[in-house]
Order: sequence, then C-alpha cells, then structure tokens
Amino acid sequence: MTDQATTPTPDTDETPVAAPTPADAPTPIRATPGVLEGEEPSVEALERDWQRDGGEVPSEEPLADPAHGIVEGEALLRVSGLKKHFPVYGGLLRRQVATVYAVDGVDFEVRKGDVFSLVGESGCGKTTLGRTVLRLVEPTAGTVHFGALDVTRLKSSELRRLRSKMQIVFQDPFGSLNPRMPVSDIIGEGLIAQGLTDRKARDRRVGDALEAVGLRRDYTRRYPHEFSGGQRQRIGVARALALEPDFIVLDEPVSALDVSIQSQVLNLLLDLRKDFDLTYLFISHNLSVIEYVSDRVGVMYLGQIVELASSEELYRSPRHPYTLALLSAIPDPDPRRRHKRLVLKGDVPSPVNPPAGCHFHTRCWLREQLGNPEQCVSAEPDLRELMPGHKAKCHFAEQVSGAKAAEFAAEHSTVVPAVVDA
Amino acid sequence: MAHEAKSLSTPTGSAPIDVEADAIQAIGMGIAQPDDATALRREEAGADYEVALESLNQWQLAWRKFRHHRLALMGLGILASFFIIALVGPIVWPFDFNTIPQPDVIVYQGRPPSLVHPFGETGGLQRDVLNLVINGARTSLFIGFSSMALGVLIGTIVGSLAGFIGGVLDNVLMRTVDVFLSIPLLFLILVASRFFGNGNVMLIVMIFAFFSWMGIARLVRSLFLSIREREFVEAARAVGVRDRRIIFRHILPNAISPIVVSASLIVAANIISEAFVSFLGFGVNPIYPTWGNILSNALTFIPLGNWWWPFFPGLMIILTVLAVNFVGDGLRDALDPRTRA
Amino acid sequence: MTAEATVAEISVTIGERPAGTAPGEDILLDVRGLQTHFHVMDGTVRAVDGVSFSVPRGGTVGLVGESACGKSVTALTIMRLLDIPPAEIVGGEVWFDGREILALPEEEMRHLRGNDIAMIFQEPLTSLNPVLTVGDQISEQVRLHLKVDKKEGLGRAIESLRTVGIPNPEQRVKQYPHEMSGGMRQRVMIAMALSCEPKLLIADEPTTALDVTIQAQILELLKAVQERTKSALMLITHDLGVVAEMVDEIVVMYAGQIVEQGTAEQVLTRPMDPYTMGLIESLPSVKKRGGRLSAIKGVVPSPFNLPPGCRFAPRCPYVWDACRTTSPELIPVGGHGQRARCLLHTPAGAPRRAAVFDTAASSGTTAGHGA
Ligand SMILES: Nc1ncnc2c1ncn2[C@@H]1O[C@H](COP(=O)(O)OP(=O)(O)OP(=O)(O)O)[C@@H](O)[C@H]1O
Ligand SMILES: Nc1ncnc2c1ncn2[C@@H]1O[C@H](COP(=O)(O)OP(=O)(O)OP(=O)(O)O)[C@@H](O)[C@H]1O
Ligand code: SF4
Ligand code: SF4
Ligand SMILES: [Mg+2]
Ligand SMILES: [Mg+2]
Repeated sequence: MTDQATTPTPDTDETPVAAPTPADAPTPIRATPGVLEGEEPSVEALERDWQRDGGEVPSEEPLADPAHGIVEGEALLRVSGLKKHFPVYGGLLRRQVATVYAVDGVDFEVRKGDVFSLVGESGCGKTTLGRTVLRLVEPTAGTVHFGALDVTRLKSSELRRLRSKMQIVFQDPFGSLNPRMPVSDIIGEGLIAQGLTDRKARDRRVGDALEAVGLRRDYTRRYPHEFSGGQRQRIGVARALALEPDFIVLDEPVSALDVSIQSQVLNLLLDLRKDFDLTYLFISHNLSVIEYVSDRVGVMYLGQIVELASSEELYRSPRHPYTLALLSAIPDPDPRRRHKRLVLKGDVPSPVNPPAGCHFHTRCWLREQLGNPEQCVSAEPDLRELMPGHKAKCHFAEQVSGAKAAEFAAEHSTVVPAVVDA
Repeated sequence: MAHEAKSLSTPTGSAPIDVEADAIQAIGMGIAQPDDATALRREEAGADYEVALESLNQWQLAWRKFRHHRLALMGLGILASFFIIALVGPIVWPFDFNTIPQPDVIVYQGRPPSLVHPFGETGGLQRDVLNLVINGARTSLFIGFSSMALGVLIGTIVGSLAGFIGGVLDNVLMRTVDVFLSIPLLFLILVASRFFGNGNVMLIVMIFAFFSWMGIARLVRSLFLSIREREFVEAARAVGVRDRRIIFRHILPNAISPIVVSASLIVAANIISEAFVSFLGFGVNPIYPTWGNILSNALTFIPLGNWWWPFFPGLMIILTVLAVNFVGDGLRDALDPRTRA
Repeated sequence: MTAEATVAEISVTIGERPAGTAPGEDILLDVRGLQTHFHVMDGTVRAVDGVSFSVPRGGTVGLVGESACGKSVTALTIMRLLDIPPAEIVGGEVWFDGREILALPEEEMRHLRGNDIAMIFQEPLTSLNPVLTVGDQISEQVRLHLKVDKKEGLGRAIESLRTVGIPNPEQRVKQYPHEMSGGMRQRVMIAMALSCEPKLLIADEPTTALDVTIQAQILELLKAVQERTKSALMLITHDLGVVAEMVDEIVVMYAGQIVEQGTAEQVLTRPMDPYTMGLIESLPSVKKRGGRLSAIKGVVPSPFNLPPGCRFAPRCPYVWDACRTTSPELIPVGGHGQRARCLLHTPAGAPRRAAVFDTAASSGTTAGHGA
C-alpha cells in the first residue's frame, strides 16, 4: 500500500506514455494513423482511393483519418437536426398508414475523449439514434459530422472504410455474436473487410484485441456459446476494438449482464478509453451507470433530447421535470435512505403519435403543479441554454427544483394511476 | 497534445494511471492486485468458463445432440443401409429386363416368399421381388434426393434474393411462387411427365424439382427477413462486411436447420410422388424397376391375392419416408442452438 | 462430500425446528433444507441446494442473487410448478400456514395456489392468456377460488383493476393482454394475484422488464397494496436497490445456496459474506467516478462443475487454502440474527477476520478518492 501511495497521480494530458516496443513484441497497429499493417492492396493505393472518393474532405487533412488533428476537448462528432422516421405499413395493400417518430430532431456534440451518454426510457429512440449516427440506419434528415467528414453524405464504399474509425458495441451479448462462427472470424472479419487479408497479421491482431479485453489469446477457435455473458460482451468489445476506432457507440453494453459482471465490463470500457484514446457515445437506461461513466449526458424523451448537461450538473440540479422524475425513480440500495418518490403518471406515449406541444405534457408533474398552463400544449418548447453547457427543453425550466418535486411527491402519495385517458 | 494513444498491443503496465486505479481496487477489496492492468482485466474476466472446455464446432455439437435422438439414429441407420443397397445391390445382383428367369413356367399370381425368394416372386414373368426392390432402390432414392437437392437449390436462391434484396424483385418472385402454388400440382406433374418425361429419370427429377421449390423459397425468404434483423448481422455490417459475405457467412448458416427439416419433408414427398406417378403410368420407363413401377405393376394383380408383390416395395417406401422424417426431426433438434446438449 | 455438507446444513439452519414439526404460529412460510435438482443431458444441476428461510405473516422477504443462482427455482418449488422430471425435489420441507405442502395432493395444492399463495412473473405477457380478455381471466380466477357467480366475478375483476390504478376498469376488462403496455400488464398480473386476497404473494422480478418510471409505479403499487392487504411478500430480484426499498429481510443466494441472510439494513450496510460485500461494492455510483469499480472477478461457476469447498472460492478476494477444501456452513454472525456462509466467521478464519472487516469498513471512505 505504501508504494502505491508514492505513485504519482498523473494527469492524462501530461503523461506521454512511452510505449516500449521490443523487437519481438506484437506489431503496434497505430504506427501510422489509420493504416492497417499487412494490407494486401497497398496502403498507398487505399489512401489514394480514399482521397479520390472523399471529395468533401479538405486536401491538407490526411484523408485516411477524418479524426486526425482533433485534440481532446474539441468536437469529434457533431449531430445536427438528426431525424429518423420509420414508416408503418398496414392494410391489405401495405400502404403507409403512420409514421414512427423514432428520432425527431436531435442536436448534440461529442468532444474527443469524452463519454457522452444518452439516457431515457424504452422506445425513446436511443438505439435508433446511435445507429443513425453510424449510418447503420439511414437518417431521414439532418447531418452527422465525424471530424471533417459528413457521414450522412458518404458513398457506401467510403462508409465501409469509415467503419474502422466508428464502431459499435451491442446490448445483447447473445444476439450480437453469430452463433455459427468461431471467435477468430467474429473479430477477424472486420479486419478482412478493411483489407487486412494476410492471415498471420490478422490472427495477431485478433489475439491482441482479445488480450486487451482480458481474454486469452487462444480463445480464437471457440464458439460464442462456450462463453459466459460477460465474456461474450468482451468479445463484442474486442470486435470493435480490433479495428482501432476513434469513436465507439456503446448501446447498453452492460444492461444484459449480471450486477457483478457489469462492473467488470464498465471497468474494461473505461480502461480502454484511456489506453486507446477513445471517445464514447454511451447509451443506457440505468442512471447510476450513466452517472458513474459520463462526462456529458443527454436525456431523451420520445425521440428528442429534453435536457443536456454535464454529468455533475445534471445530477446536481436537473432542469427538466422529466429528468427529475427519472432521478427520483432510481431505487437506492441504501435502506437507511428511503425517500419519498416522485412517481410519474401513465406510460410513455407512443412515438407514432407524440403529444402536441411539449411531448412530456401528458405526464408532467410540474405542469400539474403550475395549474396546467396552456403553453405546454400549444407550443413546443426549445432546447434552451439555461447556463453555459446546460440546456433544457421546458417552458418553465427555471421553476424546476428538487423542493417542488418533493412537495408534489408528498401531495400525491396514493396509488398512482396507470394512464391518463385522453 | 502530449498524450499518445497506445496501440492495441503495447504493454499497458507502463501506464501509471492504472496503478492508481488499482490502489482503489486494492483498498476496496482488501487485497493486493497485480500492478498490470492487463493482468487485472484478465483476472476480472475469469480465467475460464468451465461449461465447455472441449471446443466443439457447430457440427460436432449437433452430432452430440443428434446421437441422443433414438428415432433419428434409427432413421439414419435405415437410410444408410438403403443407400448401400442402392449402390452395391445392382452391381452384385443386376436386373436385366430381357433376362426372364423361368421363361417356361408362368404362374399367374406369382409365388409367396420362400427361402430361395425371400420377398416372393412376381406374377407373369416370375421375377424375384427382392431383386426388383434392390434394383429399384437406386432409381427411387436418386429421384427422391436429387429432386429435393435441386428444388432446395432453386428455392434457396429465389428465397435469398427475395429476402435480401426485397422491393420489386421480392414482389415479383413471391407472386411467381403464388402462381406456382395455385396450379394443381399433381395434374401438372402428370401432364409434364407425359410431354417431357418419356420415362427419362433425369427429366422426372427436373420436373419434381421444378414443383418442389416454392415452400423452400417462402421459408428462406422469411428466414432472411428475420435473420437480417438480428444483431450479429448488424454488427457485421458495422465493421464493414460486404453483402455477399453477410449472406454466405451469417444468414445462410443460421437458416440451415429449418431448411434441412423441410428438405427432409420434400424427399419423402417426392419418393411418394414417384411411386404415384409411376402407378398412374406416367413415371419412369417401366422397363427399369423403381419402387413405384414395381408397385404399379403389382397392383394390377392385386385381385389375385399376391400380397407380397406390392407389400415389399411399399414397405421400402414407407420405411424410407419415415426414416427421412425421423432424421429431419433429429436434425431440427440438433441444429437448434437453443437446446444445449 | 456434498451429501455430508447438506445434512450438516439442515441441522444447523433449522436447528430450532426439527424436521417434521410445524413452525410457530407467526411463521407463514417456512422453507427447510430445500433441494431441487434438474437432470439434464450433461448431468445434474443442483439448482437449489439446501435452502432454508422463513417468511413471517405479513412480512417481506427479498431473495437476491445473480442470474441462475436458483431464485426462480426456489419460488417455483414452493409453488410446486416445476415439471417433474426434469426437476426433482430431492429433499427438504416447505411449511405454509401450518401445513407441509411438498407432500400435499395436487388437488389441494391447486386450491392453495391462487387462493393462499399467488405469484407474479417477470414477463406478464407470457403468463397471461392471449386469447382471453383480462376481465375474463381475472374473473375466472376469482370464480374458481371464491365460488361466486359470473356477474360478481366480473365485478370483482373491475374492482381489483381499480385498486391497481387502472383507470376506466369497466372498459379495460374487455381488452386483451396485447392491447396493453408492459406496465399495465404487470398491473393486471398484480390485480389477478391479489383478487383472491392471498396470504403470500411471490413476485419474481416483477419490474425487471419495465422502464424505470414504470418500475417506480409498480413498486409503489406493490408496497401500497401489500400494506393494505397485510399479505406477506416474497420478492425475487437481482436489483439491490429494489430490495432495499421493498423488504425487511434479505436472503442472498449464490450458486444454489444461501450465502447470507439478515435484515435489509444488516445485509446492505454491514454485509458479512464476501460475495455480498463484493456485490454491494461493485455497484456503480458517483462516488467511485474516475476510479475503477471493485468488480468481483471471474464468472459464476458452471452448475456442472461447482468448485469443491466454498463455491465462491475461485472469485473470492479473501480466499485461503481452507476455503478450497471445506464447505462453509450458514452460521450466525454478530448475534442479531444475521447469518453468513464464510469460513472467516469460523474459528479457523479468526486470524484473518479482523483484516478483512477492517479494510472493508474503511473502503466506503477510501473509494471516494477516485473522483
Ligand atoms: N426498424 C424499425 N421500424 C419501425 N419502427 C422502429 C424500428 N426500429 C425502431 N422502431 C421504433 O422506434 C422507436 C425507438 O426505438 P429504439 O429502439 O431506438 O428505442 P430505445 O430507446 O433504444 O429503446 P430500448 O431502451 O427499448 O432499447 C420505438 O418506438 C421502436 O418501436
Ligand atoms: N427447466 C429446467 N431445466 C434444467 N435446468 C433448469 C431448469 N430451470 C432452471 N434450471 C437451472 O437451474 C438453475 C437456477 O435457475 P433459476 O431460474 O432459479 O435462476 P434465477 O436465480 O431465477 O436466475 P434469473 O435471475 O436469471 O432469473 C440454473 O442453472 C438453470 O439453468
Ligand atoms: S413545457 Fe410544460 S409540460 Fe413540458 S416539461 Fe415543461 S412544464 Fe412540463
Ligand atoms: S469461505 Fe473463503 S472463499 Fe468462501 S467466501 Fe469465505 S473467505 Fe471467501
Ligand atoms: Mg435500445
Ligand atoms: Mg429467475
């Protein structure tokens, strides 16, 4: 314990990590940014391709890496006006009968090196947003800038190459690994797709990735069903990591895991962020996890961000009635702190028919407390900046406070009705 | 900016940050932790998951489960022996239409099973039923299995295209399937056999195949639609895998078990159809024995009470159909990843 | 080895109440040395392996533990809802309301289920009949158990939907389960469970499939209803936050065995078993920001290959030689009814004890340094 005490506590920015690379050590992959070692079509050729295809990229940028030159704290990802509407077909002729407003006009920025989190209830559009950002789902409107590149305007060949920079880890450790493929192929196929056809080099990278997530190198011949849930999730992380991305969307990476395994995987993800200089878009519905990992948080409700703030700010002084209710709903594992809950009425309305005006007005406790002002129904509030870096989408955000919420909770202590019938 | 990102393979022990993190960990759990973050990570991950130390691939696992399915094993045994008979039998004991065993004796109803002729003798030309059955096996099994293979191939291609590409192509292909399904099948087979068949085995195979792909096409299409939405396919897409590989490495392998099961049903159906078509006189040229031909010849003699003549080829057909169904059943269980052996 | 361990276990845990005799009047449910095994292709899963606990009348007990530790199987064994085979109730007794119910004829058991013991499940959609309206389902249950006519059954159904906070119950009784949201279906399940005023309500992960705001609604509802009807509650969950809010007593399970039991406050604030300690410490919280969480290393052992000795030994930070050979028993710790299954609390572990519990006690403050 004593020598731990003497260890300096370094600041990430100040400590260049001198990476000793002995001659026989596995090949470092980051030798040149974005260049894969052992590629079959020559590196130069690929880079030329990239330059030819990516017409919008300023020519002085090294085109193989759109994130190059962005330093910690600058925006790596800028999402603006992003919308994704799914058509709903019905009837005999399968005509479009309705629209799901899954993501409905979202703006945010993720700074390099940050963990930006999205939190919200089921169906509020977190997953859709995360996938639209990577263009695994085509957006209906809006833009996503990754560094200097507009992801929404890339051709499919360019997009495929960009995949090595932007990755995703899925929620379900069982569903996201092909049960019919050995681990070597699961992790290695991304490398093949990115042009690393040399078998030996690929195996080495797969082994490195496995090692980085705490699994043994020789697991490569095994199949997913031979692993526990937590280990499978590590394989999912290794698959993303093998491509050496700058940015990873983590879609509920620990929600399907046991409590004791959750913390292992969270540790892993945060370690990897430091080690490989990653930026995360972290999606979760678990507010305790979000509080632990995030730098900034966006709270989503019915396809929109209703509050956006730094993690400390959001948890210390939430400015949207919905955020407050969410925070109040977290069960506290300390039995000595039994608090009076602020319980919301009813269910989340369907994203097919979001309520008029403020989407939250059907469940809003503040509106009820204020005597149901008409404004909430007639006008949609803006996502306003209340303080630098803290935005909320509520007409009465200034009046939101813990005291008011407690007052409301105290008045409404009986069984909460399930729905508000319109 | 001084901080250099490490490459995947750089030893991580040199990062002082992790040592500090370890200190917290060590205090938390009251134990000394290794000062190497990678080692710590590995320790957290758990050295091994003991469930399956032996590494079994999909087929080994399937075999392990298949072995426990008694009926399926029996079916497999029956099929295997029939195949051996079909391959070896005609060589050892060939059938020649022009060789008539006992040209001078004509017993109209044939002779019942005896030690010399365990399956009995046919009426008319006194042919040995066992010999006929053995020689018929080759053609019958060939027709059943190869028409299935061809049908499954067509169905899989059509279904994959419809399910993967979707849109207009999907509509066109699926309407074609509907049209094929709405045609009275048996009638068409009869007409087609009449006009194109001429008793030629290959043509019969093609005709059967041509009318047995629709079910598979629909099945494969729906499998494609559902597997395409599975997360691992999305994950493959997210690392930049191309469509072709997604189809062949991700979707098809996961669609295999329902396809195998319905394929087994098609085999059974086509063996029966062959018998039926032959019985109606539109099948394989009657100078070559098939189980269907033997049966159809026998049935004209049925009023004479010579049960052994239709019984044995009939039994073969029933056994084959049952065996194929059992094997299909076993395969379905064995290939289902949800059931663990 | 296991056979011995189990015999010893039973005599320890139910020492006061010898097998075959009814528990005191105040005890509604008394589970003693329960052992449920599954015989599957790879071998035998000892899903529940010598579990003993009791639920007082009107009391609340929480069963917590990781996935596959045997929580649901315990509940299903009590309800006698397991398929036998593959399941086999190898040993133990379950006393409910003064009667041993494992040996009860199926006919009487059916009467007990729904009348005196009701259960709600994690995914309400699978336990509601999709082709019957919710009104029909509730009233059928009511009529079966209370012997009332059709009209009164429906009246009761409407009433019970109203008590669980479903507005317009007169309309809602005509709806089918798939026409309702997850939260509403769970309310229907609760309404159904409570329609016959059971003495014991077993809730198996009632909120795990629900959103956090809906979870809050359902928990509040369960609390209110339980207080009003004075029925006892056995709550199964893996969420320590939920048990902390809902129950007085906690039973922690690991790999088929109880590893710790005590009041909620004891178990959650002064855990005495290394597994419980690890579980609580691994919860993410803002205090631990910037540092690593103290995760429990490794994975849950395979049910076919349980470690000899203490089942937690491969993952335990305090493990020593004795743990790998001796199976610890669930023994009283601290003298206030708390029990833990750990050799640290035996004379053999005495020398190590101080070190472990002193560090653990201070970890609450030290972990905050990370921020
Ligand atoms: N392919 C699709 N077609 C139609 N609707 C869709 C599709 N994908 C998602 N949706 C709808 O869009 C809405 C948002 O879904 P999404 O999966 O993004 O929610 P989420 O916030 O991730 O929820 P969860 O917490 O349950 O994962 C939902 O109402 C969902 O039903
Ligand atoms: N029908 C069954 N056949 C075989 N094994 C079973 C069966 N039901 C349960 N098991 C096994 O019994 C063990 C305990 O399962 P149980 O369902 O009680 O876990 P649990 O604690 O409820 O977990 P969870 O939190 O995932 O619901 C597991 O190993 C499980 O695989
Ligand atoms: S705008 Fe009105 S309804 Fe919307 S959150 Fe604010 S107070 Fe509530
Ligand atoms: S008996 Fe040993 S291994 Fe088991 S919990 Fe106690 S200290 Fe850990
Ligand atoms: Mg989601
Ligand atoms: Mg369970």
